[in-house]
Amino acid sequence: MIIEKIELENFMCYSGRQTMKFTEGINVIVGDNGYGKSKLYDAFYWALYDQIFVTEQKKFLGTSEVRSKVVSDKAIFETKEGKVAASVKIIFHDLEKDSIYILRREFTAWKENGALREDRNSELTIQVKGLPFQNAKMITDREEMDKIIEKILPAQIKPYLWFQGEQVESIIDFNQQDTLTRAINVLSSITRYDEIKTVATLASKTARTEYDREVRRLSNDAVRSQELEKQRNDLEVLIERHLKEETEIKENLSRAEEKRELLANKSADAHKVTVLQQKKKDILDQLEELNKSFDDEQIAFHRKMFRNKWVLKGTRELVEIYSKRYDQYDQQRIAANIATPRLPIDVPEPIYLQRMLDQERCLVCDREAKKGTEPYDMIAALLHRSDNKSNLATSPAHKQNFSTDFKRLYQNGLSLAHRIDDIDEDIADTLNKINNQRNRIKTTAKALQDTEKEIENLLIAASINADQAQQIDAEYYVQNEKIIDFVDRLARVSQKLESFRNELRGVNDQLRSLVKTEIPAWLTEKQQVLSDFEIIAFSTRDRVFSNLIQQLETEANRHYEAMTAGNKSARGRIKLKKLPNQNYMPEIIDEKGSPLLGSNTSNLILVKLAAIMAIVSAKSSAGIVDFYTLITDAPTSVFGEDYTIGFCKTISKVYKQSIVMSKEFYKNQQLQEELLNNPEINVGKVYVITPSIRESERINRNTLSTTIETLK
Amino acid sequence: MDLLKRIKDRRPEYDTAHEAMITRFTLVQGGKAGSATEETAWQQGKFFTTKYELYIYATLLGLKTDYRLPLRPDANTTGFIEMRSWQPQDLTEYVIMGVLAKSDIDFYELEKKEEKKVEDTILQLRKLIEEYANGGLDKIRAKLEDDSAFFENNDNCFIDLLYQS
Amino acid sequence: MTKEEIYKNYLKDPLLFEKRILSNDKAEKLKFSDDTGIKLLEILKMAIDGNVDQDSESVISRKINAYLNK
Repeated sequence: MIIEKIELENFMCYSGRQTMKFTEGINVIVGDNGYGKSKLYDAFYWALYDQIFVTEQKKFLGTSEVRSKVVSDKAIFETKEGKVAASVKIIFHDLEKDSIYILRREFTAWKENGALREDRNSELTIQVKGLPFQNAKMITDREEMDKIIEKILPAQIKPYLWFQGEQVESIIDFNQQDTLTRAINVLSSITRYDEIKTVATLASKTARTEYDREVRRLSNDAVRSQELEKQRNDLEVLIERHLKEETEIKENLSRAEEKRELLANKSADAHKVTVLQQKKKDILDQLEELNKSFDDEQIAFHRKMFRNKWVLKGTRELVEIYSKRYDQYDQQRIAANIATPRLPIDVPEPIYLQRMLDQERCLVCDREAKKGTEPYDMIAALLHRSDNKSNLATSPAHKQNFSTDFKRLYQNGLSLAHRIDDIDEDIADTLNKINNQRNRIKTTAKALQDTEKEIENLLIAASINADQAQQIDAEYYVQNEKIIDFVDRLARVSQKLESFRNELRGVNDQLRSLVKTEIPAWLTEKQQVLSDFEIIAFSTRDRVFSNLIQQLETEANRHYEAMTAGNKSARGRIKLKKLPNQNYMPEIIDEKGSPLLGSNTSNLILVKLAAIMAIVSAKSSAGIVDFYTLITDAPTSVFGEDYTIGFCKTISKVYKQSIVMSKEFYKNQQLQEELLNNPEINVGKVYVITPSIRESERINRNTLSTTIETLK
Repeated sequence: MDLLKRIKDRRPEYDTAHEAMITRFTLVQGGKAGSATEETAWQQGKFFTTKYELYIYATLLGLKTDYRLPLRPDANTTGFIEMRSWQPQDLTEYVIMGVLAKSDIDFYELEKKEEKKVEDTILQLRKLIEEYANGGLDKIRAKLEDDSAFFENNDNCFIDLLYQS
Repeated sequence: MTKEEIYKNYLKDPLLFEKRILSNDKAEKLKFSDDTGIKLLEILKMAIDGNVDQDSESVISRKINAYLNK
């Protein structure tokens, strides 16, 4: 069924009468936001279904609720008195039978004395031309009209063929598990197999009941039979209950496994992050310690100037000069007899003198000094010098005696001089130590920086933040525990089921054993055949469904690839994943088969569109795409310029006719040209719509009209 | 006997023109005497905890480079605490020794002198200390002028200075 | 899908092969119109017939049961 033409008269922003023709291929209606594209979509929708989409409320409302809203404000304004009506007429062409359907819907209002009186409802008329040359026949029978509308676009597939961009989200809602299943069911004949399953179950059940009745009838022991039958019933109830539980646990398990897998991917990274965070902390601690000891070292460093006498560097000469002068002074004193001739008092110190006497050895020349010999006496004499104060004579000319002070300065100088030699080495050592510390700090700081960078990169790659990293580890653990628990429970339930089934077999055997005569062969056979029938019905249905899913997946990927061809960024592959409750969910996976993280919105929308297209174009859908038109308003705005051409190419190949409203081509000259000239796009008509007043400038719509310009 | 003691009673002075420079490198004590610590000194980028430390440094610098610079006659001067209170004392005595060594004071003759003369000599000694210190300070000032970067961002500047003389 | 196409789908079921009711070769060549004499296959056809012709499930089930009662 192709749409050949739409005629609008005073419908919403389209004042006056406007016509648009359409052909096979992709027909495009171009206009910026607010120019009237979605009102055009409304026109189609309203004509067939008596509803328009109210953006503010994000839902469809019937004519009776919106009333004169469907009528052009300008028309209302310009009509001083009398009738003002909005109408939409669409001409459908059934290509196979070559018949024509003319649908026209009209809503009337009246201007009376400046006030507007509205009808409550709109009016629909349908005319049919069986063959092109025949006259159009008006259809008045309500039922037949409904049939025709159903024929034009079956209600079941309507959501997948006529939709607004915003609705793509809900058509394939990733949050609703049975969304895909429903779509597949709607668009393929899988329901047949489901129905046959029901038949098989029913037939099988009937046969079993018959069989059981016979067993009971032929039983030797009616009482026992009854007992056993009761047991059997109880067991069957138990089994059913446990089966339900089993399914529930399986579902929970699968969900937990899914979560865990998701977390596992993140967890591996999260764990790395945690490890790195710890490393970072250790490095920080280390750095703090290093800095502290470096500071300490630095502080001590300067004190060494005085504590370690570094300030004396290079001053050895002073000591030498002073020594000379002191020596001179001392000799002068000796010469003047005011100092002891030889050694000053306490040189050598008493303990050494005493040691020499005790060892009977002179420690200066290292020769014997036996007691009673002259050397021994000389040494002893030195020791007793202090007793003999007469040695310290004072010359009358010398008023002062500064010898102690000068000597002290001399000794002080000497002892400090020893240290001067070590200064260079000491300084070098200290500087070295400090340098090493500084280097270690630098290295550690670099390690810190590197670790931080590593962490950052990981977080970006896994698109998680630092807090999440820890959470993930914890959550992973939780899910893991859950899984262990579910697996455990599942095992127990399975065990129970097995034992019940065994018991059931036992009971059945017992029941049969009570039958001494033969159960009619045909009955046994019947039961067997129907049991087989049931098995086959179930397994075939699943097989057919799986094949369908497989087909769908392949088909969807074909479309997805075609649409994303223009964009090199990671797009992944569509996978239809089976869930434990037999539902399917579409997801995007990477080459390794794991879920593609960070898929952007565009990709997701495209996946959904690809899925929708696959559903309607899959072979088993009996030519939906050949037979019905795709009408969609602005899905391209959802995924932007990049994919628009790919989208148009694919659409034009998949659907015999499509009508697409888009803003993407509005300002983009290049895109427009490609649309018109690309040989791979089977382009039909192209229109550009422009309002007479821009949306931002509209105070009221009394002068609003829309111009339609044909581009092709 | 008490020569050293009397020497140490003196407080050498310096030209206040050097005040800014001295302050720059010396931790200026807070209100309470001795409240600042080594840690504070270093953190403030100061190298000496007391002014006399810098003075000792400067004196030794002057001594070893043989640079004695008399103070300007019109110079404003100011001093520190007396040498007796300087720390460490062994360095203080070393400085005195150094100045004595470089001076032309005759140790032997000194003992023959009157009290008054001795006092003069001690004064002369003090003046010498001041001059050598002044020389050292001048050297530091010159370095600062020629190559201020030497003192900035260089924790070891005064140590490096030891090598450059 | 035609009745035959649906029938063919059922004929592919492994159970038929396991129980040696039908070999793969035979299954491929079998037409809907062929009378097989195999009860399981005949009731399959009855189910398909009934479903496509929009008989109710209980009706189909009854027919099948009746057929197997002989």
